[in-house]
Amino acid sequence: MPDPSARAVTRRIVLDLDRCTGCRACGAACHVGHNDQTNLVPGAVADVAVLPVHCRHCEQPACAAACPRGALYQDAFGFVRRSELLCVGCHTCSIACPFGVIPDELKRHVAPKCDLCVDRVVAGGIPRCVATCTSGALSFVELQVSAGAPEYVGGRIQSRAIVRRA
Amino acid sequence: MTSPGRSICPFCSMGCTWRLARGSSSPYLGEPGVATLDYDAEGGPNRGSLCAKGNVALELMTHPRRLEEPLVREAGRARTVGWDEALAYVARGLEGLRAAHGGGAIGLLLGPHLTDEEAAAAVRLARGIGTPHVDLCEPEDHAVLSGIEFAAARPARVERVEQIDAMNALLVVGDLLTLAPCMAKPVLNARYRDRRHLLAVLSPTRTRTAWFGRPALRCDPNAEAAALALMLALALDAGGSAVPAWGEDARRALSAWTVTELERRSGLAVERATAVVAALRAGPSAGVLLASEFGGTARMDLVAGLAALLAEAVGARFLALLEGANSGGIRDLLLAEGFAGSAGHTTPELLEAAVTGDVKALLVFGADPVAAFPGTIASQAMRTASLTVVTAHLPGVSAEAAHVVLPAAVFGEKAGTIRGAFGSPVLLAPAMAPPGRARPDLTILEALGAGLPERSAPAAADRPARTGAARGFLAELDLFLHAQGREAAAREPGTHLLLAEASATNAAEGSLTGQLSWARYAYPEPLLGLSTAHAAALGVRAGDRVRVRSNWGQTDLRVRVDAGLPEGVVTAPHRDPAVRALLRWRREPTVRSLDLRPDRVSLERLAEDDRA
Repeated sequence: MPDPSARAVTRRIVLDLDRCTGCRACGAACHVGHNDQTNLVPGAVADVAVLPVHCRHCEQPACAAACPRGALYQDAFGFVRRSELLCVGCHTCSIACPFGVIPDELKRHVAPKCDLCVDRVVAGGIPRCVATCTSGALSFVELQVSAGAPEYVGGRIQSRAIVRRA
Repeated sequence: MTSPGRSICPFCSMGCTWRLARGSSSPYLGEPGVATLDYDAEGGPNRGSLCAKGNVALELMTHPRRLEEPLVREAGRARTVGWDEALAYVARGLEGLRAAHGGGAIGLLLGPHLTDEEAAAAVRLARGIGTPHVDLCEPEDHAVLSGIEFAAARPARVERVEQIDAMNALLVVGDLLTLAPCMAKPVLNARYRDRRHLLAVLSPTRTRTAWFGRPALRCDPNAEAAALALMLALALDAGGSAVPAWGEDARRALSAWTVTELERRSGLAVERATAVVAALRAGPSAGVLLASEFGGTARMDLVAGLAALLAEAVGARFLALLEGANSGGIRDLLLAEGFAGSAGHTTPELLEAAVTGDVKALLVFGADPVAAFPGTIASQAMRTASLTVVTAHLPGVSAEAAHVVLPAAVFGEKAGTIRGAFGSPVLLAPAMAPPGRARPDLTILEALGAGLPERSAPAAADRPARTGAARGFLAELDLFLHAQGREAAAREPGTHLLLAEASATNAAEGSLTGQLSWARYAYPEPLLGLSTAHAAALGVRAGDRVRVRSNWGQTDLRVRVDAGLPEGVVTAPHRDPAVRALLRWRREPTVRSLDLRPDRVSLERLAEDDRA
């Protein structure tokens, strides 16, 4: 595993639950940008709201540890990526992932995996799902410990009553 | 302004732009030179965002089923022909009909995705043929635009998306965030800039937009017009120096209705309406946003007109989001040129005239009337007319019924200007060449009009004067409020009101969006919304199939249980052709537009073995 301090990109995708309208544009952008393979699927929260469920690119990825073929690996940027050639579609990673973000993709018989749109990020861009987000709910932010008050993303969730929609 | 390589999303009138990037370094799109879609953070009101529909915009250009050759269908057999032969066939047909029945036997229907130049060329073609029948072919937009026109309201317009960001009170009518998801960014910016800011959403059901409403103004199903009438009455009562010229007329017309009576008709609490009107009036910056996506209310024209009047009365800026990218621009042009119902038929009248045989030829440019209109009127019209010509970029139900199909270019393949919701012209530049022998509609229209005589516009005196005041509109509102009371009283037991709800597929695209990969993936099938109590009474659970019957047709739909639905109401997405077949075809005589009235339906649970 590469030394975390040497990582070139330390930004991750963050979702502001207050702003998400459940429009599924992020999933569409992922689908179109990855040649019709959807790495990001909208997840339903207890059947009352639709939210994007995206890969956290963990520092110690459980999916990579579980993969029997070594298809999942952490690249020089710290992105958890999957080699399409090695993946056999056993979906062990789907089971191992604590966030449930690796969906089943029956079309190709392999497990799709978010690559944080590495092609765009290394060129200085932002992932497709963040670029396309219609409400500004998704952002691509630097991972750092804030000196001030902790930022509580999604903290207004109770005021916006995701629960109320039931 | 649009630079080469930048294109515009055709799926609603917001006018979102996106860029075309060539050659991708994506590990999945490893082929250099393949065009890919990129997000355009600089230009356009979307500021880089694109909704699920917008993300498949590139697929329109590269779709494997794109029409590439002109087709002529004779005696049920289609054959591919060259452009010269196809155009000569159409010209011959038109000449024959014109000689036998006069120019008035030919009608033109314009799709909402034509550029201003193409609409102008259609006007020239109609003049050359000598027909007064040209109109916009998009039912919801047509109703909304007719209503605003009929109300003769002149509110200040939202000119830039940044104005919405800075607003401190917003009233949203219609399911704005389903029709135009990219509006979420400015609307939520305004809402969250300060927690005291108001985002009122008027809706009978819990739509995606109503979810964000603070307050969410719940009115009775089908009573948006009554709720807006209540708010208008309150706004006029509050008075002030800025009451518009029509204010006195409106006050007199609405004085027949007490506030309590309007409250009863609309189901909207007076206190909530008063608070919203006060916030809108207080300013300093308020807005009324209307989407032509109403959860299938009757009289969309009244709702649209009232929203515009209310905006003017409270001094708020007004924005009407439409289904078609250039619906507003096309209809403005047609009205200015003396078409679109002034002298000739409107689209619903034209379809009726085609069914009765008064109109013999239908020339459809960039539209799919069979998919867009409820019931079977458009398919009957296409069958009965002796010459039907359709320009299209993908095969659709109208193209399948037409005698001549001409392959057309889409946005991104043609030049021109359009005017989106914000009213300013947007210049389109072609980024790609159309596939095969497809041509822009402008070329087709000009070729068809080439041999025809030049005729000038009818003199201004020949055109009926536009009403200066909202008097006719207010009389119509009065009738509606009376009728609504009667309708509520005459509710038949055992039937349910089918409220047609928004879905992100697009009417004008109709059969088209169904052919796009993401649309199929994200919106796999239409679901019937049932309240929890109703589902329990029927003995069905989410996912079960139910047969829905109206007086006009029947269809089987899978059930979605929605705890937020009012009593006696079921919902289904009205963009779906199967659901459209359940809805009533009714032309509203005053505005001569379509009245998409929600219908009474009865439900029957399907047994296991009935499931296909």
